[in-house]
Amino acid sequence: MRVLLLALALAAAPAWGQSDPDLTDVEQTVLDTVSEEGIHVVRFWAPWCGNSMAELRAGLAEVVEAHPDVTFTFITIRNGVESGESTLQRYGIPDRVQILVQHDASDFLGQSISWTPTTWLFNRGGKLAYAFNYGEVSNAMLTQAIANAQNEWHHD
Amino acid sequence: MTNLASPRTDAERTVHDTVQADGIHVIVFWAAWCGNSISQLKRGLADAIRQHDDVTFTFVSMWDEGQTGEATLREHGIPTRAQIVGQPGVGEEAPKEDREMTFLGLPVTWIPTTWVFNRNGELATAFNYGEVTKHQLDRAIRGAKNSW
Repeated sequence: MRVLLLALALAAAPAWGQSDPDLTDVEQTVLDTVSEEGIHVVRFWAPWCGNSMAELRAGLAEVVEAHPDVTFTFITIRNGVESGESTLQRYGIPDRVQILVQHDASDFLGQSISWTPTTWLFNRGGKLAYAFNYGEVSNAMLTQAIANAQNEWHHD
Repeated sequence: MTNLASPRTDAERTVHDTVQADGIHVIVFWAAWCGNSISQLKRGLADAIRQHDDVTFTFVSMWDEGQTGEATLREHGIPTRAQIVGQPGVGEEAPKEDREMTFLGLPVTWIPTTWVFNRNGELATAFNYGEVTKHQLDRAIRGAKNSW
């Protein structure tokens, strides 16, 4: 499992989707990831968070396994420098998942993170297709969102 | 708190003020010329409004030269209690690069886009692509109401 322990400080919020010198290394890594073609899931979580753990217990690893063509990035927030990697391993999160750490993530890429866990899906070269910013995301909801994000809807 | 930019238009002011209030608020960005928007109207949106009578619904017509599209909404049974506003800007025929791609500073890169707010201005769920079914919207409203 790739663990990148990167900058903890969060700079001023940049405009959405724009490259900005004030981005943290973690933000830049995510921006680079989601700007690639394809579907990208970015999940903000913490091992101390009951709702985050509930999502893992519900079988989030199965959703990752079922979508080998989708990238998954887990960003551990509000947890100091600890990545929670061992927790993710315990719940079967595959090695291919990118794990990043950013303690202060009240704002991330110009968007506020007001809840843990928060799950975003990107498509179309970095556009935010779906944002689940509250509660828990069920496997059914996430699977549906991935399918919808992959769908070639007939207009843009 | 969700980073909402200061309102620049009457439509943005309406949405900004609406979502700050207690309760659950659904915002639908759409256009009368947009096939996906019309398809979404046919997928139970009017029923969702009638069912969730404790939730506010606001329709924001985008990329349609500021027109509200009210007649189209009425044709599809959208109740009168739903707010209807039109965001100024270019229409269907204009180059896509001329379209305004944000609303209150948040990305709107596709129509229909559907947002669900709770907690006095927090964006709980954003469906920014494709179409939202009544089932998905019901689930998002339930999730937004839940005290996790």
